[in-house]
Amino acid sequence: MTRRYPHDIEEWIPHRGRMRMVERVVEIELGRGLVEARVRDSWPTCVDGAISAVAVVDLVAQSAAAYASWERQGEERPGGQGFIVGLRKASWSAPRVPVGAVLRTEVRKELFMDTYATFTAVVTGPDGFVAEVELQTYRKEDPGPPTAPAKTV
Amino acid sequence: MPSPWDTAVTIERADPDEIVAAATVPHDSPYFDGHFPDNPVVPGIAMLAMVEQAVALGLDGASTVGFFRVRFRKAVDRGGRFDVTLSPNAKKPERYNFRVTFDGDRACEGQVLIGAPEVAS
Repeated sequence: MTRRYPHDIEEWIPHRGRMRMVERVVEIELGRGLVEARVRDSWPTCVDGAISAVAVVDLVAQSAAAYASWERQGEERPGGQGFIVGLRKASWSAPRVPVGAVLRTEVRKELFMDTYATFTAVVTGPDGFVAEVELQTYRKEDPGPPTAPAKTV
Repeated sequence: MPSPWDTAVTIERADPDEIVAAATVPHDSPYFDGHFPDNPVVPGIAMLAMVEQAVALGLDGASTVGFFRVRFRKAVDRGGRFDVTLSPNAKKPERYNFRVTFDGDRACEGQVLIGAPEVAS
């Protein structure tokens, strides 16, 4: 089966407005995705030209949602809302990330069982390592359209 | 001028064994701008940012350098009161246990890794 990339990332993630951080998919293959975004002054937690590294957790969640939407293409079982239910680990190199930095998030789907999945991610920026995050997600079964993007808390 | 992302974290009590802070997410907070269009809920990072602020305010400017074993227990809507409780982790002195409640119900809990105060650049 050939899976396509979206013309607009909002086809794959439910986040909108100032809460949408992911901009584009660089590459995706089974089990792994690489997405990119530039830190903007509209991003959550941004003050005085930098975001809190805490916000990177949502960047990873959105990257995982994009991967999950890619993976679900062509599945007979429709996708439902996704939620972060746990954060096994999140750590970063500095407490703030400056506006303008281009961040690449490499997300890997590590474990899954029915509607639960674990994603690990490493976020890098212009100077190298920014953060690593390990998320636990739950996806509600939903009779919605097959293209419904995964949603995260 | 306060940040639009501000959740008005205030320290209510700071004892050696427990720090208690209160916070709110205003109805017009940008956290609800697109999270989500048809179903506004407080993002998990908003609660983690409350913990980060409580750490800074309650622990002499300490920074937050990570989180461990976090559980999000409840999806919460706008308008209620959050309480953030921090207590030292008995086994790992660089960590604090935290709990966030929303109108009295557990919303989020876990461990926060504490670092040195942030140095202004």
